[in-house]
Amino acid sequence: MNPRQRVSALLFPVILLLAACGQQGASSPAAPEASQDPLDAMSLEELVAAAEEEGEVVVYSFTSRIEAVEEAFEAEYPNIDLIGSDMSSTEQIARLQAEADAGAAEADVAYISDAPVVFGDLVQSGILHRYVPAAFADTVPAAYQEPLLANRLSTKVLMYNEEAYPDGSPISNLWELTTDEWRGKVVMVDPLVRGDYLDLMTEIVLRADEMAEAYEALNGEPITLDEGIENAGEQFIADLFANDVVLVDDTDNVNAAIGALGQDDPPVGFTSYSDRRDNEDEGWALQVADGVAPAPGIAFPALLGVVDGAPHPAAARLVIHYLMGDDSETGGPGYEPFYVAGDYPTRTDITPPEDALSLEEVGAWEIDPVAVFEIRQDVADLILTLQ
Amino acid sequence: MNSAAPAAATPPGALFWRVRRALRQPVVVIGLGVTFVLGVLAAVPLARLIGDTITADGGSAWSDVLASRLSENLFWSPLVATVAIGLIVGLGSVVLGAGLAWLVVMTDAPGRRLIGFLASLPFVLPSFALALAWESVFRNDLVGGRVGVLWAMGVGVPDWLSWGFVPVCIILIAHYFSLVFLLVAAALASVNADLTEAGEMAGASRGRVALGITLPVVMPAIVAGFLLAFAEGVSNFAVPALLGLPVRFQTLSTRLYGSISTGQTERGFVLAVLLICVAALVLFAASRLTGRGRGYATITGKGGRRRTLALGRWRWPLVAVAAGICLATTIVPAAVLALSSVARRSGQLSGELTLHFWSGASDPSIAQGTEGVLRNPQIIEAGLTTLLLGVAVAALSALLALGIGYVVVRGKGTLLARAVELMSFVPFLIPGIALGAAYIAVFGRPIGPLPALYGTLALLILAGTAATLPFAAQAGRSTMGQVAGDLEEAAVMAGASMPRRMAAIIVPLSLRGLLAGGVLVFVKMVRDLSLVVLLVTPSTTLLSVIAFRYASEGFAQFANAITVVIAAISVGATLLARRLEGAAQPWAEQ
Amino acid sequence: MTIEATATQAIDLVGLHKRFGEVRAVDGVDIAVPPGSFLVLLGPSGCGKTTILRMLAGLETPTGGEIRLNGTVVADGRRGTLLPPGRRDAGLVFQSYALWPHMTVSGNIEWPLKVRRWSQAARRQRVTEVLELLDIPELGGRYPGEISGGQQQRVAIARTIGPRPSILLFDEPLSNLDAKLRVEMRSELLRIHRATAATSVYVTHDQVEAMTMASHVAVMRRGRIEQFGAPRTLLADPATPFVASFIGTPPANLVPAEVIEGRFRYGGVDLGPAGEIGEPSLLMYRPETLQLVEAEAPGVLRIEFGDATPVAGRDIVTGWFEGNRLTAVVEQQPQASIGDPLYLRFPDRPQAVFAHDADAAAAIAEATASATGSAPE
Repeated sequence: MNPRQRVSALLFPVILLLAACGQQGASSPAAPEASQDPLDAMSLEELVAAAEEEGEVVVYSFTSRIEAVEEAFEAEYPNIDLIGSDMSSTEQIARLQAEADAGAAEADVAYISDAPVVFGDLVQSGILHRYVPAAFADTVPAAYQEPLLANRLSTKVLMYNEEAYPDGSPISNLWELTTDEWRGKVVMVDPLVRGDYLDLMTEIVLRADEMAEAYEALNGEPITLDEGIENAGEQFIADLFANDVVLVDDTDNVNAAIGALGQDDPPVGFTSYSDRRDNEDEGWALQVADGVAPAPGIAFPALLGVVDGAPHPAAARLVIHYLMGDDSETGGPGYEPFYVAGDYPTRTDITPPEDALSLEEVGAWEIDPVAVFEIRQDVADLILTLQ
Repeated sequence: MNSAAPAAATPPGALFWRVRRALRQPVVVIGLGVTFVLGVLAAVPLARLIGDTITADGGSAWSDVLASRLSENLFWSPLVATVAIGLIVGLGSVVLGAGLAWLVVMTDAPGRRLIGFLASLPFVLPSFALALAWESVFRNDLVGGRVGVLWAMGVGVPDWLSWGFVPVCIILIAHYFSLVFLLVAAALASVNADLTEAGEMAGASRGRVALGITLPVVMPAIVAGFLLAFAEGVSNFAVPALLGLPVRFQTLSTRLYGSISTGQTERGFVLAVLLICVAALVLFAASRLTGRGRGYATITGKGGRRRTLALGRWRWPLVAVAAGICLATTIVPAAVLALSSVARRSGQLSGELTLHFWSGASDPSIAQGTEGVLRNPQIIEAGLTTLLLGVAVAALSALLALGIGYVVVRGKGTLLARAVELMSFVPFLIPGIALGAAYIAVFGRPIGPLPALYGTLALLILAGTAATLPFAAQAGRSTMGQVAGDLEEAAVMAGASMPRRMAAIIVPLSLRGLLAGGVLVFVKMVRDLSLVVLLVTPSTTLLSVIAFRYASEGFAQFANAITVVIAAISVGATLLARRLEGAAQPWAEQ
Repeated sequence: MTIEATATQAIDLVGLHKRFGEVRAVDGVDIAVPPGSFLVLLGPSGCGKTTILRMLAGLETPTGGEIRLNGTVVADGRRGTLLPPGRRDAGLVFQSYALWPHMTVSGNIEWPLKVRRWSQAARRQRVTEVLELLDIPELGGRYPGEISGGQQQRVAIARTIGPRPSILLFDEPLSNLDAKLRVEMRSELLRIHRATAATSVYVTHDQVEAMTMASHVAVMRRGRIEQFGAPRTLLADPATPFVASFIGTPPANLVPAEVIEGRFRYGGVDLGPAGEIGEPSLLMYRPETLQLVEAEAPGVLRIEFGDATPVAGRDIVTGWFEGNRLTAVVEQQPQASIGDPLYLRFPDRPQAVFAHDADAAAAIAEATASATGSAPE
């Protein structure tokens, strides 16, 4: 066989395969929400009975505190095995997406942040369903019930080491992070790897006007934008990266970097206010920087959703109910891991912990998931050019 | 079997008879079966990779990657870094590997057997083990948190030494030089003394003989070693992932991972296709350069007899250097890992020691309550899954090796044989990350009546078998090549059917080679990270991924402990393979 | 033991010894040949011939004795190697040819000339010359992996004679070739030997080669020389049973005779007076001196027919008597099948008589094994 025939003989099956694969394309999963699921209307007792029949429940959680919840839950409901998996929101989103494509849902409950993507992708395509236990329909503001229930607000804000800076935050204006004094001494997780940090960056861009004002307040003159930069928010991000911001892949690394005891000149960085709860155990001295102009960071909802096609739907709803807490003032064992400074329960009938700064005092921006979702990818691309 | 184009005037009926006759031949039957399997394993994912990039979304992904404001950071910079790493790792591995091979095979250096044994080990340890060991020693406080031994002692380790390009190159060289060593040592061992004696007879000095005769003759092995080190260096994911981020050092493989794990699948696939092109280009260019090289071994006739060079006063200095290299690349990292897995405070190896990370119960103040490695049910289960995965892939791989070897050797020169060879080579070009992504894309959702494989061990097994295809093909070829055609033909004369011949003649004779190949595949799967990192789920997870996660999260001691376990499994299995192969050290016979 | 004691011998081995640990590979060898000789070292494998060759080349060092080439001492047992291989004006053709696979044929031939710093013009010319001489002018640009075994051998020879050495060493060069090629190459080698006017030393276990090509033959066994001399001398006048059963096509018959009442007797046949000899002896009869007769008679031995081979118009007939093989060369092929009786008449006197002791028996066994090709090297 001459060379040409040989080559075409080999290419032919390849072309066939290409064609076959192209057609496989995206077979999208279930259509958006249909009618009300009967489980949604069950009372707590009925739910418990149904859940005990199911026997187990798988929870994907963006916080490692799910382990503590697991212990408490299994103490309360010994016949139900709670299997908690700690994975970042970004990972959860990818997994839930892939599992939906495969038509094989492994998880029952998603406890997830990164609301913009969750609303924009997962809820839109029906991968996550909303469930609001009747008991809390009144005590949670409507905003935190749609499109998914949130049991608290978490934060990604600027924090510092209170051992090294006992008199309060060394930063009072975000733009200080772009000055020589703080070159290489600002730590955060790579926004391209963690959605929450990308949301933080995006919110900064959305609040460009406030950023411009803050710049003027610090430097006395209006901001000038570099070529290709559209607004003060983008300028801040560019300057931050130009100032050697240190990127890591996990919040624990950020916490250790900022908060480790015994440092003379620790960096500052963006992380969760609620991580302060681990100060004693881990040997940290984390403290939130309040009163930072224009804001120290963002506050965002921690969402609870039932996964479409969940193998244990009743138990899933029970877990959500449990995570909302019980009647007690502090929310009870279900909410206890989250009853710390830095987590803000959505229920209006829970008294906040002592020595915690309120959301207003902290001054963090509450994000608008829809607005963030719109420009998020562009901000991601911008960051890509800076790395 | 002759599958040439049919002559012009063949009546249509004859074609039918031809096909029917062809289908009777065992080579054809096995060949078709193997082709189908290879098609599913190798061709389909590759086609999917390419296919996804030429859809509508794919089109914009191409421009994003190549010609937008993102391109600099997304593609071009990492490309330069990747190629630079490949070249430096290739060259460094050759210098180190060939140098040690020369020392072990061609000189009378004392302790050369031991050096030879140690020099073949680094390849067995996972590359991220070396990275973790490096961190344990050289990590500075750029990222805060735990620091390495040197920084804890007060030594100011600069950033360029702790992170990024320099340590990545050093570690990859330390990992891949042993591959080159094995290749070059085998080549040197097969150079018959006659060749060098003929040079001496011609009046050439020892040096001239070495440069003018010995070196050119083993050049093909050296080039092959360079290519392998280059290709592996280019597609390695674990090391730049662990050491690159804090200084924003990115390679194509880390960008690939980043793209896919954040949902930018088309971009990721574009990067994968580009990475494959880079690898293919280099391999193609180099194979051109060494076109004639392959037949050298057959000329030298009887091998084995060698004249060794007396080193004289250079003995001990050279041996010291060689021993130093071997220690630094095997014993020291292993010791560092083991030691740091029992250190109370990571980075302070001389401080308090504890077995907590191995066998301790859950302590909330340590690593958020994670239990010791040997007690943690998640880790134990991951360990079992890892072993199961390794064994399953090894078995499948051996089976395929048999089939591929049979088709390629018995059907030499036919279209079927060539197609099989080509397809079995394809996965070599695809970086592990990209292959994993392609597998999710193809098998992650249901195909007709077949269920989706996402999250199952089956998917891991399939992907693993595909990734190790080149090794299976190689093992199959060389094993089957040693089973002379005569032996099988004698069985045919005796009237034995194909399955009977397979069972009674071919399999028993190839068993040793296949087993050895199988064990090597097992080792590869146990320590692999880049292929599996995208494929595991919470319910089916593997040791390497857990170690990687722990390392990323700062649980250094746990990560190191798990890595020690993986390394132990790897080394143990490799030693077993060497035993099985028999010719452990062809240079060892004197 | 020298044949012609001329002023300067080309090659002179004096009391040469080589020990490898306990093994005495070469156990006291003396040989001297004049320039232009074709010396063949002949013997079964392990006899030490290759070791001597390698010592001549300079690739091994003697543990005792002296090697002189063209009058100069190049190595001795006491001082070791005095002149390294490249400087002895000697070339070696390896049994495996040892062609450098990464160089072309021309490259292989040219490289030794480069090492000796010939000018480019001189090298080019010599390469062409030598390729012509070996009759392979078209192979210049090919690689060793691309040519046949016979061609490789020619290239190996061409490479060796390129620098015009005065001594040529051959290590069983024809053993890898098929029978027909071997015969051709024998004359080729002689032709080249004469054309180069060198002194050649040729190692082989094939006595036919020795008989055809040599001017001097050293028959070796167990590190010692059994006999040294011209081929005809070895054939006509073998000094030991080993030489007698090793040399000759077909080899001579050695009949194990008893001495009974002063006469040799074998198989009931009287083989002549024994003279002074009293112990059992081996009587040498060349095959052409034995005759086949029609019927039994005194002085005729009845043997069993084995086979008959037609050679050059005659027949070599082999028969068996009590486990001993006897060979005769006759004019006409006998009409017999295997096992049939044949009648062999012996001449009045044997051509040689040797003592039949244990060593003789061992020697014969060795010679026979080697001649039938059962030993490789």
